[in-house]
Amino acid sequence: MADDEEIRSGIAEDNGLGENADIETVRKISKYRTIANELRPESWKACLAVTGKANVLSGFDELYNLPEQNEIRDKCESIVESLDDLENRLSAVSDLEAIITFYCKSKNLSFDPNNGWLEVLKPMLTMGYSRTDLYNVFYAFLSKYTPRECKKDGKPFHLFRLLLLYHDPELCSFLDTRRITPDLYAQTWFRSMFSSCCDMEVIQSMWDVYFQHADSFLIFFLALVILVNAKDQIVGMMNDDKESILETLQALPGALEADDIEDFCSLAQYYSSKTPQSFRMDYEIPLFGSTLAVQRHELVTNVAQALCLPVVVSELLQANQSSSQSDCVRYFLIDCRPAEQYNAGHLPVAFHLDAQLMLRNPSEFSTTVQALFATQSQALATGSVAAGEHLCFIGSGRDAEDKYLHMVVSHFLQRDVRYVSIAKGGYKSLHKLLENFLSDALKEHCPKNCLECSDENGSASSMASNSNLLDDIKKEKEQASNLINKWSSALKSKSAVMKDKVTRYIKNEGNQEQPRHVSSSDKVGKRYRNMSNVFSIGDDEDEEPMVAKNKSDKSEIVKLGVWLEKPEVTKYFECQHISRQDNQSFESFLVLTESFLFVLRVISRKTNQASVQAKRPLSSIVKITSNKKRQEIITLKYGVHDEANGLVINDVDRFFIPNASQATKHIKFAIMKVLDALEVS
Amino acid sequence: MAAGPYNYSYIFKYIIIGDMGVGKSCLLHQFTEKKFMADCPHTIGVEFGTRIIEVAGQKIKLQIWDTAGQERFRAVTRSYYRGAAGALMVYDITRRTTYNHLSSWLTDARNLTNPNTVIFLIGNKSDLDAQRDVTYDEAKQFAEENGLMFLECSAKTGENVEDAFLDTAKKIYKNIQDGSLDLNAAESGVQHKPSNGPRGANLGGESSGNKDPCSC
Ligand SMILES: Nc1nc2c(ncn2[C@@H]2O[C@H](COP(=O)(O)OP(=O)(O)OP(=O)(O)O)[C@@H](O)[C@H]2O)c(=O)[nH]1
Ligand SMILES: [Mg+2]
Repeated sequence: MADDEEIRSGIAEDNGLGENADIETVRKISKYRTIANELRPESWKACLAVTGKANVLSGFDELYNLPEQNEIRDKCESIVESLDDLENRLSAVSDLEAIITFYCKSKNLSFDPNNGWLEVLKPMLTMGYSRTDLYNVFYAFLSKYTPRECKKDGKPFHLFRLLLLYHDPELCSFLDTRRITPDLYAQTWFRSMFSSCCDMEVIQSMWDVYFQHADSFLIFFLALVILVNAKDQIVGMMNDDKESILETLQALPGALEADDIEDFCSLAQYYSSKTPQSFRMDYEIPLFGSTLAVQRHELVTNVAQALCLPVVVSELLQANQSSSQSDCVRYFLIDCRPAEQYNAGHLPVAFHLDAQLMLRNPSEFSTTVQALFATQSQALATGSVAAGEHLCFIGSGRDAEDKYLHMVVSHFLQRDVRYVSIAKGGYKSLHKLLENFLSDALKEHCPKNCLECSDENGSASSMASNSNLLDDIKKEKEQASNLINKWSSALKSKSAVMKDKVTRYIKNEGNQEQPRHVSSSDKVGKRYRNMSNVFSIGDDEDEEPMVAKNKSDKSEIVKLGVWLEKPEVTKYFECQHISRQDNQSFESFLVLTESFLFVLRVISRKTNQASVQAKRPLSSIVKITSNKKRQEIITLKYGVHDEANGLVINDVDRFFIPNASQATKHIKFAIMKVLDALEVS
Repeated sequence: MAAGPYNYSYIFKYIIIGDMGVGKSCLLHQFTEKKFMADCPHTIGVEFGTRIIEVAGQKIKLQIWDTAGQERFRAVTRSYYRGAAGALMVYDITRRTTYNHLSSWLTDARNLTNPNTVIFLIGNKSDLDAQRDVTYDEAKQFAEENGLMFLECSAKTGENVEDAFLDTAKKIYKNIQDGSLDLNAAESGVQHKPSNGPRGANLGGESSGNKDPCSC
């Protein structure tokens, strides 16, 4: 760590984080990671683009005459008091008061002690900025990173709930049933970007990373990671009253430690990359846009009333076309229109699930739903173009039929299915977007029977009533492709960063690696008994084994789909296999049979090829650990039980497994079976 | 085939409305499964249930939409009012606020359904008499003033649940018989099918052709 810092500051001197530094300079030096203390003040300024910015405060009349002036002064004083090692306390208080007063006046706002401003200013105060810089940094922060309407029933919290629903419907439903809405526990998180609930050191590191990513929406995913990580704890409180659950929730960020921050942010990036991006287009302006833009924008969808996340059709098409594999959201499209509409044109990759079947024939509906999941996993296994973990439902885009679509989507949500979205505007929008190449883009498109085609030619009245929507679509059509392109490439580079992160995180751990024997009191036969699914959490650091690196380079190439469908395969999981040799991570599958664990590395989903990286007898797995804080990162340790030395670990595999608890549970069962068999024989 | 569950002559559509947590889903579950769900998760959007009943010797299939009470789902749930022949409006006798909100639920029901829709007021959780917050008489009077049918029920014990659903159906059936409900009108919420018709079996539900105004 110390070496690292020296190197980084060395680079800084060479590059000179001076007058012309911008966010790119900072990224180059700090690599999206924590920033060295001595570089932090200038780096933050550079990231927030206030380096060399003019002194706006010169327009201040210096009159401290707001009705709430006394309150402002009191609050400023108590914030300064709460900071231990601040040099000039008096001037700090007067800087704060000037800044708050001027901000109120220039924005025509009144001061509310709960608005989070002072909490935002607090970490900035420790940077030793001049009053001008402090104001500029504060101003830039509020406009770029504090969402509008961080209040009861505010938009950010409705959006946050939708994101939680998308990633963890079970947790969302638990909280909804207890009537715990995000505005009740996350207001302070969003208003001050956790400043009011975390230690200063934690905040500084978090903001370091945050500012370099420069993604206003990252706060949503940070909050999401906090909740999802605490899921067991939260759901475990089902017999507690609402107040104590709320208290627990509010206190969650306080448990973060400075060392967690980089992983924490990487996970947030990971969740962000597993989320449809359209919501950004919808909420960028309402949450972060200028006041003027917001006024013009108000028409757009009502978040408070959305059943689930909407996805614009252009994003669907884009995702479907993109050949890149795991990095972006891939959709499994479910077309819920009546059969005659589906038959008159649909996307080639869409699975048909007639929504009205649910009314007509509930049992046939359930059978079709089962078929749907089977088709989905088949498609995923074979890497077909139709494959996707994310279910996007398409309706006709007509109110009359969309009520059946909503019924189906409700059905899935009610069953805690995650990654559920609705295509915004449905087939109507899709048709509009594809207008000029319908026959190429759609399958079985038959203009005679296609409702959209006949609509365009005929009934002007229905056009008129929908003119708003159509205008929207037209606009969307122009913007969408640009924006989506931009975003998806931004996203791609981000998830590359995140992968890199995960790798580096693991490497850091590895650096402390030392040969070591584990106490022989760990009796082999009993070692997995009476332990929780992830057997020992957080023991990684002190049990690093000697790693034998003598794997042969020639690994067998197999057909992925065929392999996963083999009868002896009992279970498989998608994961990132993190190589010990070069610390890269690879899209892989963990495959379980009755006696072995295989690691298949995906070569190409398109050609359906994978290589067998490892074949491990289940009986050789002597330990499974997950990181205390990042439970998706799982380590499998292989070894033998030696009479003289006790347990000797001779190899290790590391994985990043999104569904880690399931995976470890299954591996544990499989191992127990093997061990039981050994004991008997 | 004709003797199977598809053998019915009418479909009536119902909708269940009312505040979150009053017990709408439990009522539906009690009616369709004859069971009480003690820890029922809140409803997301809308759920759907069916049961075949008999009124005056006629088999009638009830298609019941159970809507989510949470405000956030209002945009979605509003679309199910249209074409409902019966609306069950539920409050919780132990929570006065759920009773106070009835007027706004009633306004929605009146505005979004057709004039012939039968509206049935249910005071649920009658098993919790000790925690009662709304008297029977008060609710009865509210029902009379607004021309609603009324019963206190318990989704837990099953008390009166059957009656609430059946009385609604009887009233709808009566409206058909005396001609006040026009089956051919758009969105009457009722479909008639000759029970021994040749295609009776696969006419199981919604849209079976363009002539049917309810298919949308
Ligand atoms: N004692 C008692 N409890 C009931 C009764 N009916 C429902 N409950 C309880 O009330 C709670 C809410 O019931 P639900 O049926 O989910 O309420 P809901 O109206 O469907 O709520 P939303 O779906 O959110 O609109 C559950 O915990 C039920 O167990 C009843 O008749 N008696
Ligand atoms: Mg319900």
